[in-house]
Amino acid sequence: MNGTGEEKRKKVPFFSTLQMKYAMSYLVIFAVVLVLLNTYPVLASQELLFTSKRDSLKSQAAVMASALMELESLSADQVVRVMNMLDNMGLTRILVTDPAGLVLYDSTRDSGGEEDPGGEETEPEYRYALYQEVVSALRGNDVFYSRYSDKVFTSTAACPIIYRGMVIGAIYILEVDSAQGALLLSLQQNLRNISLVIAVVTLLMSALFSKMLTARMAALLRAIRIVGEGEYGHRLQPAGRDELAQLAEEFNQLTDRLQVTEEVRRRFVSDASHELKTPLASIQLLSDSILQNEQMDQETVRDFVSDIGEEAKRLTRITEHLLALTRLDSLPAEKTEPVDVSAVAERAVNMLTPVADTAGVTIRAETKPGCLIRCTNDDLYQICFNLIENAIKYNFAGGYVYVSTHKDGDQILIEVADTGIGIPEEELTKVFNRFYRVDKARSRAAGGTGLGLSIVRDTVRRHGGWVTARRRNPEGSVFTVGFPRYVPGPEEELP
Amino acid sequence: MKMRWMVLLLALCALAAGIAGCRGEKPEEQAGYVLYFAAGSGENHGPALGTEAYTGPLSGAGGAEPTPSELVQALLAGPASEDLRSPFPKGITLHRCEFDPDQPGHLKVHLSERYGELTDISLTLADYAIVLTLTQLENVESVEIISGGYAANYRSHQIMTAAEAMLTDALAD
Repeated sequence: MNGTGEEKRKKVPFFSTLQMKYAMSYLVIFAVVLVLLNTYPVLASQELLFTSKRDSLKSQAAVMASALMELESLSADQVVRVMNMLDNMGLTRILVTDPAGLVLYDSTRDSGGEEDPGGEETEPEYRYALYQEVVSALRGNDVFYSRYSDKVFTSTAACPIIYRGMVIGAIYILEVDSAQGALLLSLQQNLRNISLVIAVVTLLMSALFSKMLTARMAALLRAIRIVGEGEYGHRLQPAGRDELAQLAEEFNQLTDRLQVTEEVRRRFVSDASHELKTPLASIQLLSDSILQNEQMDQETVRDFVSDIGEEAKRLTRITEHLLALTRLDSLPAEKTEPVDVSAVAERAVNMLTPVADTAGVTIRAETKPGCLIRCTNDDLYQICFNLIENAIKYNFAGGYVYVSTHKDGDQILIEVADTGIGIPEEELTKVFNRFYRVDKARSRAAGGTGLGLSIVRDTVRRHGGWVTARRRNPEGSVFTVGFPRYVPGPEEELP
Repeated sequence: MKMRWMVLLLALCALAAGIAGCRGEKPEEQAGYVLYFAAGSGENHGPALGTEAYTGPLSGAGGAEPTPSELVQALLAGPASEDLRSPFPKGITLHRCEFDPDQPGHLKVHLSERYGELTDISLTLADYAIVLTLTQLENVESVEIISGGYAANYRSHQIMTAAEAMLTDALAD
């Protein structure tokens, strides 16, 4: 039920998928391009043809008007005679009117005079061209109109016939051009066919490209889900050199770190369980021995109970140290302040001197004044305490612990050296690991938890410092802690 | 999901608005009689005379049609539409309309003297605005216009019919 629900939640609706969005983006862009391709050239050609027709028709009308203005006054006979001499220049209709709009010549009707074949005079026919073009021309304006519809260019032009500043008539010409219309239609059809091909190619290409692009994203998403389910070993194969390849590499690095962290966590849990199990097993064994052996003398019982108490103390120490480490891992750093390292180191030395005396170890401290760092008093004390306590624990009776603080450039160094058992060269890098012990038996005997140096390392790092361990010549080991030196302002009050 | 419904609703609204817009643009059917006026000067193609529905009284034959005088009075009153303009000068009045007893269907329209100020194409437009309007009446076939008691002798002819007016070029439209 949950699994199906999770699957449904993860399933992206088809129209919301990134692939669909990419494909739609490509299609929209190409649709805009295609619309422009199908409109702009056609409109531009149309405009070009309109302009060409306007110039052509106006000049034709002007030629006819100039021929007619020679007549001084227009009569039907004279106009017909003049117009018959002129070429109609492929025009569909030519009208000549008098100033009142009365048609004196109509190319679609007039071919000669008004006389019928019988020689008798016919009734005069009165027709008035009440077109906008004619009216406007009779008012002294040149007029042009053109339109393209039904595959045909229809253009009209009219101009006044002027004699000595007087309008004595008007010329109206009409051109119905289906050849140019067919040309424009053919252009439109060609563009439509090209657009159709481009649209099909775009559709296929957008599907392909969006699939290619989103396939890698889908792989990344799949990998994230696999890693999310706990399979930290899963890796992506980065292909190409683009941002997605970088994303895949980043993902792999992240997974590496996750794997390491997970490994450390598992080991830590395992080690912690083991460390907690050992004193618990001792407590159980000792308590069982007391319970099962009724004849056990009081002194032995006291010894056993004392051992149980020691193991309980060890358990307490381990849990306290674990809590300290957890706090270091999870809690944000407390507010820091300038701290005098020498003063804190001396306080730790003073606190541990009785312990050293009991162990027959001598502590020699050499601290320099003015060693200031930004830290908290408690954290710095914990660092010094752990290092000096370790140096005492893993020392021999009659041995020494040397504690020193000094400046080194822009750093403050704390060195804790001992003449103790030392650390093998190959294990120097491991001593800061949690639950790591060089000598397990000695550590347990000394009440160690294997967490002291881990706490030191984590605390030092928390305050921007570093810690190293090295072998001391001729014996023992040296732990060095470095912190950025704090330089107070001119009016700052020092601790 | 809500978004899809919203889009669908908007599309339906747009469709409804489009249909309403189309219906709104459709010119009203001019049933009955129309008045002819000069078309607006903004156009450079089309008929020079436009029409507008006659909305005046119908006191003619059997109350089904207006009298010639009513139509001429409506013409002289000018168009209601802003797309049309009156072809008549201001101040023209109708004296009377009378049928010629010798020529059936021939109507004489007597107008005031100011009509005589019109010449050339302006006169033609005014003449045929009257002729086209009046020849819609069943008993009117031709019209003669007299201003101040005289017919304008600079007209090509005095007895005008609707067939003489070419409003559109059939080859162009």
